[in-house]
Amino acid sequence: MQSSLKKEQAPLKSSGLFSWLTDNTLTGMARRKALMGYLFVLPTMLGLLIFVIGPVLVSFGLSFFDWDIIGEAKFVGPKNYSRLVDDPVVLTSFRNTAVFVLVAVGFQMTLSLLLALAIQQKRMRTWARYLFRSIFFLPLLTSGATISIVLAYMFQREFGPINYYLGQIGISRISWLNSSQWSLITVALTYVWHQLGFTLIVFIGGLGNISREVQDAADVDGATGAFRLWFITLPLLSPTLLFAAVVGIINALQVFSEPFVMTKGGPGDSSRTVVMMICQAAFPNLEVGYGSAITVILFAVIMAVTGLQFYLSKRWVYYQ
Amino acid sequence: MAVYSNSAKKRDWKQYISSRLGFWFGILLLVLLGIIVLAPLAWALSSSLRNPREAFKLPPDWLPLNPDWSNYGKVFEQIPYATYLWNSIFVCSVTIAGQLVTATMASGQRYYILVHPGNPDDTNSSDYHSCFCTYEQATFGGYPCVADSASHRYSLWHFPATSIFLADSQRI
Amino acid sequence: MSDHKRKPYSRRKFLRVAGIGVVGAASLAACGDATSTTAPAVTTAPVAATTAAAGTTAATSATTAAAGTTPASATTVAGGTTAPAVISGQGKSIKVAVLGDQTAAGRRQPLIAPFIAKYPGATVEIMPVAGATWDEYFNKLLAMKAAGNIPDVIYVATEGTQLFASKGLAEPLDEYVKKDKAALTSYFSDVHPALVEAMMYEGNLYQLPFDWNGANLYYNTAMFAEAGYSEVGADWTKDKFYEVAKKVSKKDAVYGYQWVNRVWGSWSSWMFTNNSNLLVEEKAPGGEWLWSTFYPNDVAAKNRGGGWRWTAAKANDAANVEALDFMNQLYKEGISPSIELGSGATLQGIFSAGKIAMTQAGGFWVATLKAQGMAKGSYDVALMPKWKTQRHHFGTAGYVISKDSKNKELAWEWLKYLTTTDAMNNELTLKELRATPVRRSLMNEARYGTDGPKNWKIFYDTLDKYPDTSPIPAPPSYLQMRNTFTKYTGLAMAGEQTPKAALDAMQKELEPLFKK
Repeated sequence: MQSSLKKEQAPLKSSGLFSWLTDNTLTGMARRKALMGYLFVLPTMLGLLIFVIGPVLVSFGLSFFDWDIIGEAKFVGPKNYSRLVDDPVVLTSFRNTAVFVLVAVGFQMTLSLLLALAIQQKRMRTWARYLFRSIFFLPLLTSGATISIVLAYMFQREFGPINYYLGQIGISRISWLNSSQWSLITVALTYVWHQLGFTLIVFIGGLGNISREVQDAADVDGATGAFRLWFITLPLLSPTLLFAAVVGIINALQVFSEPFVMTKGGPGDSSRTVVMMICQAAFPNLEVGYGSAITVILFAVIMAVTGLQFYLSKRWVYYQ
Repeated sequence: MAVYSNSAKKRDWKQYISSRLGFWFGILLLVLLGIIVLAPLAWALSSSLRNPREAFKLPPDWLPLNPDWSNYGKVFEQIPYATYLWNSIFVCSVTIAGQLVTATMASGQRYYILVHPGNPDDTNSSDYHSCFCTYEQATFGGYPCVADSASHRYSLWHFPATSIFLADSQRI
Repeated sequence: MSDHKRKPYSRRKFLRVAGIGVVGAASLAACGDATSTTAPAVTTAPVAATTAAAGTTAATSATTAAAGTTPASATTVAGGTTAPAVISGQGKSIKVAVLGDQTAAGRRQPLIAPFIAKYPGATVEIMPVAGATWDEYFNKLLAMKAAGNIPDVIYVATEGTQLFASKGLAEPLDEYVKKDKAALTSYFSDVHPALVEAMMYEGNLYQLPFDWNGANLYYNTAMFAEAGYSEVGADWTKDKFYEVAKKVSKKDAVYGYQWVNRVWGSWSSWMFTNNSNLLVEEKAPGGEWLWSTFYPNDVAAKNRGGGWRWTAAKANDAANVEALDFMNQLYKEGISPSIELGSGATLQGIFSAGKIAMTQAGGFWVATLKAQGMAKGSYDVALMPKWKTQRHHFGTAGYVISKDSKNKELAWEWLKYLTTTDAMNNELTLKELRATPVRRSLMNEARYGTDGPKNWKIFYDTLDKYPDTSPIPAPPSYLQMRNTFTKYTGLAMAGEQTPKAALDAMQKELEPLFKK
């Protein structure tokens, strides 16, 4: 009797979109659940679409046009790209940026790793750990442009304190900002000074995640010093290292405020970076299409470098 | 009942020295770099308390003997600093709140707050004191923000009607 | 601990919480607005609401103005204006963009009340646009134009006059000036024609000069006295200058001479005194209507045309190479420190700290040196030393009416109002001494006697006594020209290229800018 009752209670069915949503069936429930899922993700997706993907697409499109902001945009096809390839200043800026990334990220990762290891030592008191962590985090709280102004004064050849103290220990004056050899390095030093705290915190977090058991086992087995660092700590730290490297390189490839404020491109073009070229193309040269073409190339470079890093990471990153 | 052979003694002695050395070398590195890192900030701070003329002296005066506080007053006179500050705070808070909400929504995960008051007898300072965690992490052990679960025993209380867990631990 | 049975966070609960959150954010936004989140605008909206007597409006505007400005002297304004207001400003508003930060806007606040008194119902909003140099300022304005909200009136300096005029951003003022001849005669008679000519382009006038700065020599009297010199004499030549600079310099401690890598007030002074220029100069035809109307008997107005034309580059002219060689020599001999890019703010600090003896600057330094603590008498000013000639250069600035403005009449009234003595005195008040006023009558003892340098008279003498004084080269392609100029100057002064090679390269890069 009951089974016949169930059979008669056929599920309600209506047609169209309304039914698609309100069907009182299992599939109806599944659809509603799925819809809620999509709605929950919607704000993030909308934000991404409007503020990230949208401008990127517009940029890609603009690179095929000639636009001087005041007038109309004219379609010119791949002219901007062919011009880009022949432009010595743009090529120099790419080379400068590559050197900058190597120097800055290299310094940044090495220094922060050393500092993180020093801070996380067993013998370090808690108050000392917090103290040093805060000290190295302070530069991150300043804005890149402001600190560039301060450091530009400090690096000044005749009147800056840095050359003064170097003179006290017998090193002759270095023309930090006014020579082609040093300008890029000086800018890299400023950048590293600024970003050190971030990588440091990341590494401290990574080091803290190495479980106590492994460390205790290492102690018992007599692994110490360099052996321990190379064979135990670093492999366990490798995911963090990868993260820091990827983020660090992406940020360094887009450096702008430090070179712009300190040297405006340095004597000649020695500290001109790619993003500076993009800015220069827009203002004052009023060639937005050209700037967009440079942006597209930079985007491709960043994608390629990041992809390469992830590919290589399969070799040296050890996931638990 | 440890039996130390001669070579073991030598190895221990060397290890002792090298770990001590390592420690002090680390301290040296930290202090040196700390000074270098703080120097520009210290210079900026001491210049802010001085007339521009004196700020450019060589060698620089790191400690302002006669602090001149008028520069700070001038900042508020010359720019609507309070307004800018408020703007930054507002933008920051709304952005973070918005991101938290949308990111959490997108991840579909419900988060709890786990508070761990820390242990007086535990000198392992990689213990944090509170964190976000999922329900499973909180109730089934392996807390993400408390280390050494093997050597500690944890008890958990849940504040009713909230998303807050309180953890307490004891060394076994 | 048995919470497994607890329901998942229900949709209803979430929406409730989200709703509260949104309301909370909105209320935060509301209280943000109350403290005016639109930071740049210094509006006079509360003032405009009252159409009461000038006295009360001035009082209210004084209290709403930024701290540190002098209260408007409303009662003296009535004496300064010309005919009573015939234009009603009802419902009209103009946005005035000025270079600088909030102080720049605040200093101009006292100007608004008397203007609004004449045109009741109008609103004037002064919008500071920040920038360390003029080109950053122009870049921002171009961006505003792209966004479609360019202000009605824009403060533009020589560097941008031809840029704005040639790109159709500025409205020619010829018809307005011809209409209001009577009101402007006293103004033009008080302003040297060189300043007016700098604001013309292809026969049309685009701005009425408001303030200007000639590149004069500032020197530290204490350092001079130590080396045995009393002052920079009027008869100084380039060789005497070199001798003194050398004597005053002490190796690695103090330097005789420094300059900033820019177009105005850099080694450009030496280009001019060596009877050369970065670009080839010409005068555009036209402009007779202005010269014959306002300067009928003025010797200084003879041979002036419709504005300057810089038709080609001559960066590597022999005289220019000689000038840059001289600068390089000073650097190599330790008389000049390394040359920086910039606007001269650090230069001021270093000058007031007594580390350099001489540099070029304009009248606008008087106020800032005083603020930095330089006592009266510790520095003085002089004309540039004579080389082949003693030709000086200057930059001037005034307001431009945007072609896109919807209230051009009111904007013109603002320009006219600013030519009056009271307006000029209001902005560049005796306390502020920020820039050099274009009116000869205002360059007086009252302005510079108490706090200024002893030889302040040379400021206007630069124009009056030297008829060939001209503006800095500022063609429509000024922004690119400036970048090229500073880039190769920097290379030469860093010792990485010889002056000749640097100027040759500069010439090569400048030439395409003038191919029309």
